[in-house]
Amino acid sequence: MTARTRSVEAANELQEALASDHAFEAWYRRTLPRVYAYVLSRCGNDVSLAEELSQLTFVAAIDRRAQFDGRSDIVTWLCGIARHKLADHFRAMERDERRRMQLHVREIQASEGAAQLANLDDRAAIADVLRSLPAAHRAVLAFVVLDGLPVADAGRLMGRSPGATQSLLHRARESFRRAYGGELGDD
Amino acid sequence: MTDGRADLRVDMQIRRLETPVRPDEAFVSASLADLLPQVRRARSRDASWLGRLSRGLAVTPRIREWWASPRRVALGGILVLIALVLFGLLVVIIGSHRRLPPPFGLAGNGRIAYVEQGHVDTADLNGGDRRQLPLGPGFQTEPRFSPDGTRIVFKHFAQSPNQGPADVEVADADGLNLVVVTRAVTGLSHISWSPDSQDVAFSGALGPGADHGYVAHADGSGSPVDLGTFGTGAWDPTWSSDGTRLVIVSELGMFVVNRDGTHSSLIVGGETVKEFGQRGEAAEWSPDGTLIVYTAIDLNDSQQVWVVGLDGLPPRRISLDTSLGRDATWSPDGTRLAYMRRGSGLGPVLTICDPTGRVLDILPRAYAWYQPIWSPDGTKIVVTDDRPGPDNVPGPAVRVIVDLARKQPDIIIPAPGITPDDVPDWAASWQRVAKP
Repeated sequence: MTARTRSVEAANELQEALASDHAFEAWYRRTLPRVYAYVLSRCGNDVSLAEELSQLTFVAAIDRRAQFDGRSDIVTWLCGIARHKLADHFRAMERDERRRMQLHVREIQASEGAAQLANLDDRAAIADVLRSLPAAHRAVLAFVVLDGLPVADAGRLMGRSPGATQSLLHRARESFRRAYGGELGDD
Repeated sequence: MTDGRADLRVDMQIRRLETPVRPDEAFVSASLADLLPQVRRARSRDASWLGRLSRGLAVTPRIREWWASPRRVALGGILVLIALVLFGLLVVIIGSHRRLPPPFGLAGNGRIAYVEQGHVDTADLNGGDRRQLPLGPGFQTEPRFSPDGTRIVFKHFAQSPNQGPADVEVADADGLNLVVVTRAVTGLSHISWSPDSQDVAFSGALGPGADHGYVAHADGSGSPVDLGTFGTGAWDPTWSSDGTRLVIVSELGMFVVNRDGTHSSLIVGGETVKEFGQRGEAAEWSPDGTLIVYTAIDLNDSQQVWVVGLDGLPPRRISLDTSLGRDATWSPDGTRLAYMRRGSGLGPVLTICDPTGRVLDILPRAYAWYQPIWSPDGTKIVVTDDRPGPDNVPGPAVRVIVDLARKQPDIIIPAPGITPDDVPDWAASWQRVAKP
């Protein structure tokens, strides 16, 4: 099978999914878990936020169906849309934080809970720490660490220069380390 | 611990969040219910031709790749800008060109040209805005607009109306850019435009001897093509609707001849006819080119209207149940004819009939009218009346615009000749313009 044939088949997959309500439901139930998991892990296991962003992702995917050329897996394409939804969300959060001047306070609160979290070493604690970070820190960790994007690409998503994004990533890791506690600090 | 290793451990911890997880079923059901209406709308749009087109374009990888480059996007923008400028220029150029009517069939009503005191005047379709065309000194008669409405041809007499040799002259419809097509034609007939408005046909003598038929370029270039004398001398050629042939008459009869003078054939013999034609054209082709209508005076001095085809069948008389019929002319769409027939004692009346001769309408308001001319849209007729007014006595001639539906009153255009007897054969010419 050629790459061209695969593209056409993948593009057809989306068209077939939209061909009837029944087909769409089957396709939605098959693809939603992977998109939802992607979003959930990047928003600190915030279930309601993950649900909202997943929903927005599928709404956008239906609107932009003509842009799907089938050259990637359909879930990869959906996750690309979700990434932009996350970036939008983080940007909104960041604006909100600036408005409320809460950035510093929240960071301190996260640090205060670090002792308890340090030894838990479970995903819930990691998620809690991640969720406690400032939006910009969460965004850069999600895009660079989880998505594996180059810093420049993550910066483009977040509307920052590569240098500023690199600096932000450094600070985000420091924030996570301090919030997560000693396990990461001792070696 | 180095920064690099510390970063690595942070990243490893964060990546532990990536585990398979299923969304809550309640959320799945609720979101599905929200999405399905949008899916249905998308399906409906995709089913339209516009949807299919846009989808087809969007999923073409090469097109997507091409537009991925900002430089190419800029180039595309420039090309679009250039295309818009060119389109604008095209619109300006097309807009500056006048739309032209077809040579036959219904068209819009333009101005009316007629002769008043030896000069060509024009009026608007309601008889107003009358003005004399600037055609120079001398006297002009029998103006006729070209089928495309852009030019006008007329006879020009240097000394006095209808006396002596005349020039065939063509000008723009507003009287400017005058061109002499042929000089000094003795016995110059009416002048007939070719359907493509490029040539004119006429008869007369360019030197001593009998009258010939001629075809000449309307721009005055070249020498006229001699159609011949058809025996004793030809008169009144008129064009076929396809512009390839002409009908022309002589004392020997009515002939059809190619526009270059070749292949003439007799279609109505002259042995039973004293004279073909009356006041204007000897004959007129139907717009579809299948029939020729003509006026003839038979051996009993009865003037009647006849129709003949090119199929060899004998002519049919269409001026039925009257002792006089003349000046027949086809309506622009070829479904009717107008002619003058004897009225109730005071003079001929304007009659509308179908091609079989069945009378459709008679408009008996005024008498002594002649030479009816259809408006290009087929709703009106302009005639000449040299006995205007209710008393029906000779007086200064007028042109009368008659509404065939009788919804509008007659429009009178004063158009006296230089003398009371000076009434031109050709009543008027109605300019064809593109339909609005």
